[in-house]
Amino acid sequence: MMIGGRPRGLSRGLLVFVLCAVFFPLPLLGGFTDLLDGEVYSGITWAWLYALAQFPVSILVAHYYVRGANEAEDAGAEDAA
Amino acid sequence: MNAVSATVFSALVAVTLGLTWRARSRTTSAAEHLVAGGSIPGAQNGVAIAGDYLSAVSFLGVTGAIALTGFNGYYLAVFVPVAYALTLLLVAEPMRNLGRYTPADVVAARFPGPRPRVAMAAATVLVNVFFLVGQFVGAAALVQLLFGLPYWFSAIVIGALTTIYTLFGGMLATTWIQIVKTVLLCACAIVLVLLTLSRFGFDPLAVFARARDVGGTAAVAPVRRSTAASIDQLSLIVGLVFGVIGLPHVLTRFLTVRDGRAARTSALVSIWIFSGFFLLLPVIGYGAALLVGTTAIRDRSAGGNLALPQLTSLLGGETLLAVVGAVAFATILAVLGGLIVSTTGAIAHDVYGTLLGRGAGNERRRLRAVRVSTLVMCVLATVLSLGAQRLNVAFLPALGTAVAASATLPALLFTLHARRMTDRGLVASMAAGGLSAVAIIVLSPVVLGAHAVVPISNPAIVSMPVGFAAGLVVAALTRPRGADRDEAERVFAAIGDAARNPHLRRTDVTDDVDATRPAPREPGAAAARPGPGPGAGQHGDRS
Repeated sequence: MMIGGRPRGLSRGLLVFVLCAVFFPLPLLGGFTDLLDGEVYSGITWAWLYALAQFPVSILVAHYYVRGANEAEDAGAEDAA
Repeated sequence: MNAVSATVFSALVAVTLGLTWRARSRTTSAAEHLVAGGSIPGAQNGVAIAGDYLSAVSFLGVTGAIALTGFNGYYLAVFVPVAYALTLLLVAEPMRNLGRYTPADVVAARFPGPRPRVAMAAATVLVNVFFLVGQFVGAAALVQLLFGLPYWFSAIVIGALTTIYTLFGGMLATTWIQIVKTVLLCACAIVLVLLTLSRFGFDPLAVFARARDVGGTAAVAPVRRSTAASIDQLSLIVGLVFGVIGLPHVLTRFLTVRDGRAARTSALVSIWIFSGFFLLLPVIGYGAALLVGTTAIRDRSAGGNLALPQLTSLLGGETLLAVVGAVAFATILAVLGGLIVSTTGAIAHDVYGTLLGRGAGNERRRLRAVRVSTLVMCVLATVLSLGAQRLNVAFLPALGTAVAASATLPALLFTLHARRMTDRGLVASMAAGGLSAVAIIVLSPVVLGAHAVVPISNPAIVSMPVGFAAGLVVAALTRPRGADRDEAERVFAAIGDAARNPHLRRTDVTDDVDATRPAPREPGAAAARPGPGPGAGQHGDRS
């Protein structure tokens, strides 16, 4: 459901919040606690796992937003036609 | 410089000069010079954005930092896709729809008086000059180390090539060079990862395990030296994440595409490239530490900037080292080209063209102003880098990022999203954020050493809130009332519609940008009146 050229389900503000809420615990936990120090497997610590997880999260959020915005534009163009 | 290096280096310079020659025939107007006429396809622009941001610091600095400091070095890389995803969400599309040549166009779309444009143009030049000098000095020093050339000669060669690319090829040549550089950079990274993995049974996990065995937990886990250091590190990361969104040369790249959809595609493609590229660096960084050795790395450069060339020499010999050196050189030129074009836009368009009102309706004069500005900026950057050889300028890019996060970012976000913002609030925000960032750095250990007044060297965690708070307070104090408030609300609604208008095309912006912008503010009015632009008339009563 699109309104005003934007996906209605997740607003831009919410996506910004999701990105920040996922990313900023990394420097906070890594810089001030030892919660991410533990080893998960073969030299990979929680810190590395959490850091590498930022990439798929960023890509997923970007794809979600771009797809929604493109669909909204297409729907708007069809309505206008 | 040996024969192989000279050959590869010459071939790369020949290719980039060829691209510039080809772009020259299509760079015949100010619009084509500054934003490639808005003709770059979205996917290509995404690759160029990656080329614009991935500096030698990213390539050499991050791998060296991982080699010497382990996980903490990766903080300098992991933020990049997140920052560009935020850029996509917050500014990419409005930037494209409201901007013409520079970020100041976006601010001026809502606040057409001279003060906001002056403030934004000044911030653009300031941030870009910080980056230019920092990159230039670092680049000349890097070329000196890689090829054994004198510093002054390296600086002049870099300055001369950057001048040729930007003066004759403008944004189009810069874009093509950035694309070539991104492809070469990623190819180099892939080759180095494969060569490194070949020493570890093609098992990436074995690299991490070996790093832990050799360096202990500190090599693979976050290291905390002190609370002050952790706060400084957090401030650095906050500044990097939000600074990217406000970097003028990054924002300018979104002006080179046709429409909002292409701007979104650009950001998406760049996020994929950043993610893929930075995914490779831990293996290279740890590989350098394990195969070259941290002592040998520190012996060549204290910060580890030559860890990657040392690893390359070990794994691929002189030929691969020559290729990597040439790619690092192309990286430098591509980043410098983007910075020069962005700065030129602020001087030739914001100051000369708009504020001084010169060159209106005379394309030849506008193009001449752009080219003179380009030449002046290139000469200035070269001279500054020659004079700054013995100065510590390592803090300049960090300062540029902090000013972007504390001055240009608040200005853009307030313009696009703050209904009650006023032009005075906007200027106050930029002044307070930018000046506090500069003041903190000047008083910090990075400049004053043991005599530092403030304990942190990265100001964003303080200067960003100062910038936003100053804007909100001054906006509240200068809030328009009565009919003026209604006008301000209508302007905000019109600007919001124009920023999100999917049908606003590059040709509209180039030819009829004034139609999307409110008319000049009349005496006594709180804000400008919305003009009859593509967005203004659609939902003019939204407020």
